[in-house]
Amino acid sequence: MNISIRNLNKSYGNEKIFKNFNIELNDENINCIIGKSGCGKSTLLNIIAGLTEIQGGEVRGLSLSDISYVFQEDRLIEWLTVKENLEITLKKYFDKSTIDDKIDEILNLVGIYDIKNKYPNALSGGMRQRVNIARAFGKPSKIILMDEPFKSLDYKLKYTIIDEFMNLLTKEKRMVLLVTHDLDEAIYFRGNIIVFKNKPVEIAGIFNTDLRSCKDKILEII
Amino acid sequence: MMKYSWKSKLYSLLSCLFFIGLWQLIAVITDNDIYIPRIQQVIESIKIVFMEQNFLKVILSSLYRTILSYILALIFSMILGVLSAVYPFFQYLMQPINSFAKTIPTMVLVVLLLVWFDKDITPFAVGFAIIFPILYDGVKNNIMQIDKRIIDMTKIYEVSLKDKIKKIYFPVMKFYFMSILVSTFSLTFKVVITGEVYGQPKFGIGSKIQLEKVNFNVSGIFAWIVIIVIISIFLEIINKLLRKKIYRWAK
Repeated sequence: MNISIRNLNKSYGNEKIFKNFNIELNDENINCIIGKSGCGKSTLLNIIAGLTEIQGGEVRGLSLSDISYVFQEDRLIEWLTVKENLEITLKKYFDKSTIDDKIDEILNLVGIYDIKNKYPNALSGGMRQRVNIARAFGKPSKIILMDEPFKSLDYKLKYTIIDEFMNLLTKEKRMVLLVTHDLDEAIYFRGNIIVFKNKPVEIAGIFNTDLRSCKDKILEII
Repeated sequence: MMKYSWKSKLYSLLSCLFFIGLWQLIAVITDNDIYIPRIQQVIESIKIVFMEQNFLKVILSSLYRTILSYILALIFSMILGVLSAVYPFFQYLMQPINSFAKTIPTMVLVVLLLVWFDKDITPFAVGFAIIFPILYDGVKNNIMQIDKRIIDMTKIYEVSLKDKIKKIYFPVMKFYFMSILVSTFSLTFKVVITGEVYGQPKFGIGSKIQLEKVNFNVSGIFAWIVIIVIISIFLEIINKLLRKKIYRWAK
C-alpha cells in the first residue's frame, strides 16, 4: 500500500497547520506520528480520513472503503448494544447471512464476546476501547488510523490492550497510522516513528531501527 | 434513597392537604358557592358528572381530539424536523410559519379557526397549531445537536442514510419526545379543551365546562377540573412506564 500526501495546505483561521506538506507512507507496517499536543497530528489523520476539509493539496492512494479509524474517544452509540454498534458499522461490508458470524469472530479475537449484548454504559473504559478496536478490525480495510486511542487508559491497561492489538495485527494484517504524544508508547509499537515539529508542520525525523537508543534524540527534537 | 423518596412523597401529600384545607377555609369564609364551592359540593358535582349518560363519551371525545392532534403534530414535526436538519431549504421555508404559529395568541387562533373550520374540527386544529411548532423546533434542534463525532464515525464506516435515520436520528427524537411527552401532551389537552369551550362541539370537556359556566354551576367547573387532573395523573403514570422501557440502555 502506498499513501502519498502532496502539497497539503491546511489552516485554522490565521494559523497555518500544514504548508506545502508532503509525506509518503508506503510501508505495510506500523507508523507512529509523534509530536507535541496540538501540533497537527490528529488533523493529518482527519484529512486522510476525509473528515477535515483542506485548502490545497491531495491525498493519493486510498479511498474511504480502505480506512478504519480507532478514535480517541470510543464513539459508541449509547442506546445500541455492542453487537448492534458493530452491526451498524459492518452492514455495508457483509451480507445478512455472514454479519453475525463476523461480529462473533471479531469479538472473540478481541476477547469481549461475553459483553456482546451489553450497552456501552455498562462497560469499563478498557472494554469500550476494545469495542472501538473491534469495529476497526471488523471493517475489511487496508489501513487503520489511530488517534491516541489509549490516552485515557491507565498504564497497565494501556499496555495490555496494546499487546492485544499487536496480536490481532499479526492475524489480521493491516497498515497502521498511529498518532501519539507518548514516546514510550510509540517505541513499544516497534514500527516507524515519524517526528512532527513546528507550525506549519515539518517532519523532523523518521526513525525505524534501534528505537530505544534513539529516544534521547527524539526527545531533543520534540 | 428509598427513605428520601418516601419523605418527599409525604411532603407532597402534606402540601396537597394544606392547599385543600386552605380552599375549604376560604370557601367557608366567603360562604358563596358561585365564587368558591366547598369541597363536599365539588365531590357531589363529581358524582353527578360521573352519573351522566354521556360521561365517557365526553372524556373520550376530548382525549381523541388531543391524541389525534398530538400524533399528527408528532408525525409532521418528525418529517419536517429531519428535512430541516438535513436540508437548510426546509428550515428557511418553515421559519415564517413557525414564528407565526408560536407568537399568535391561542384565543386569536381559536377565533380564526372557528371562522375557517367546523366547530368539531376547531379544537383539534388549535391543538395541532399550538403543539406543532414546539415539537418541530425540538426535533430539529435535537438532530442538529447530535454529536458530530458520532456522525464522523458513521462516515468512516459508510453507514447508510436509512440506518442513520433508524438507529441514530429516530432514537434521538424518541428520547426527546419522552422527555417532553407529559408537558406537551398536557398542553395539547388544555388547548383542545379551550378550543372546545369556544367551538362547542357536541361532546367534549370544554363544551361541558362552558355549559356549567352558563348555569353558574362553579362546583361543576371544579368537578371537571378534578377530572382533568386525574386524567393528567394517569398520563404521567403511563409516561413513567414508557420511560423505563425506552431508557433501559441507561441503567
